Amino acid sequence: MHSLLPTDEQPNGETETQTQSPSGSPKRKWTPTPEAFEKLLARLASDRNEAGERYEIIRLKLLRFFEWRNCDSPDHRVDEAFNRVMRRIDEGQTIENLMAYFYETARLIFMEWLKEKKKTAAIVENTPVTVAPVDLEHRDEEPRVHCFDNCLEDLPVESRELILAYYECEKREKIVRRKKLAVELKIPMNALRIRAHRIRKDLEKCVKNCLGQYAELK
Amino acid sequence: MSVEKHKATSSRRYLLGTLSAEESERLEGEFFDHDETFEEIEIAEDELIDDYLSDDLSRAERDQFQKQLLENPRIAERVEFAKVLRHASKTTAQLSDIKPEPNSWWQSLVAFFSTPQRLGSAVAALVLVLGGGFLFVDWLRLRDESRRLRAERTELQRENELLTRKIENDTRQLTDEKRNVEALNTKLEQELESVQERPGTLALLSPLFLFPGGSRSIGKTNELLLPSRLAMVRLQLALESNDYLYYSAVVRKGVEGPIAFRKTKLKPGTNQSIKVIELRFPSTRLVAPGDYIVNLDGIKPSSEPEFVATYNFRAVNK
Repeated sequence: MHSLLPTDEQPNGETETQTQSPSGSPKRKWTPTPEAFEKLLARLASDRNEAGERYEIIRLKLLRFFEWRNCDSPDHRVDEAFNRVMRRIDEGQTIENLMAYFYETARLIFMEWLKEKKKTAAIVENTPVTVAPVDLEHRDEEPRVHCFDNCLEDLPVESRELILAYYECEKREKIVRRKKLAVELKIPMNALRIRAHRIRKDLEKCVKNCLGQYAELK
Repeated sequence: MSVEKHKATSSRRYLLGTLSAEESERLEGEFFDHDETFEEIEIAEDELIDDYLSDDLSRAERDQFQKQLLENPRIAERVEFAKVLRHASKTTAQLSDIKPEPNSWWQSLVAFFSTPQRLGSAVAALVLVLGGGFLFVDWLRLRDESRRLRAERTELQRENELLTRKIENDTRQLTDEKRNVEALNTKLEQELESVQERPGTLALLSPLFLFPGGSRSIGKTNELLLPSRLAMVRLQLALESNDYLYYSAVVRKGVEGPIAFRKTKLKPGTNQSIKVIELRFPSTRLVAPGDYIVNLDGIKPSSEPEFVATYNFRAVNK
């Protein structure tokens, strides 16, 4: 078989529970096997470490895709996308452009979710839903500040100075400051944006881990 | 509009949900294919959060941001993080902006040198004095440093030579000792082999019967009388039980003294219905009179040797 896009019957056949086929016979659920996962990794890269890194990048892209489309349970849908792609590879299907195939699979899962959402919309409309509001105003900020300070301290000096300088001004001053910073560092503005983003990403990751540990201690 | 600017705008509109479906799909396809496009959207997310906090979004953008992004717990968390980051950056900037007030003597000095002629002469004089002084001080410092380094290098060379000589001596001494020990060992091995091959040629001493711990030997004594001429010593080590396939015995002078005799793969025999291990070795192995210890280990197939018992005896001259 030779295909770029997932065929229409594939997404419905691989839901997490046993479903009824049009003929009425129950369809078997496909569960990922270690062999199927190995095949996926081998398809991502010949070197296992590199394949692992690629896997993480794809996972993040899928997660963001579902989040940015405001899909609920994005993690669950990411797993579903991986399962479907793994199954096709395990079955020996030729996939020319793996990343495009991942995207199309994710898009199909999104469409299914949308369809399901519309179907249940009427029921939901008549059901009173109580959503606990996120109280951003009164949450305890002390651990976050504490974690932030520690993580900032752990950054290399150049990174720490850059991130603080990058965010120290606002409005017009901000543009001037950042241009000056780019000149000082002898890099183009866009490279400065990327550098600041990467440092910020690391810092956020560190703060997130620290807050997780703090919550565990509590 | 530059390509970068266009990408940033598209990414921003994609996140706010204002990009057309067609453009959104094109951008999504691209970010799956290219990591840099994905990173560009992540940067756009950073910038939207910052603009939201600094009130730099238009009314429509702000509404879209709240509707499309802020309900997402991950983005809400990121907003909280951005608040802390902004606060830290501003505090740092404010602290570095604080400069000390000028002192009055400094102001007077500035006033004195406010005319160009005075200032010019003063600067020239200052440059000469400072420059000359600096050069002189630097020359002195370099000279001292050079002397110190020379002395250190000489001392290090001397120490190095001494160490090399000591290592050479020690190595030579060790090599000589090793050679002597090897020769002695070979001689003893040859002697043992010749004696064992010709058991009949040596007089056999009466067996010394030893019990574990050494306090219950027959005749209440553990004394072995060393003959004046070469003879074959016989030790019979009593076993409390026979639980092993083989035994190995080591005879030492004292607890941690040199090994006089060692034998492996020993099988027990019987003496008056008691299981015994018999050791035979030339009397010359017991180089001097004194207390000797026999350590007996038991060996089972595919396992480490296990301790069985210790036996004591005293060698005395006849």
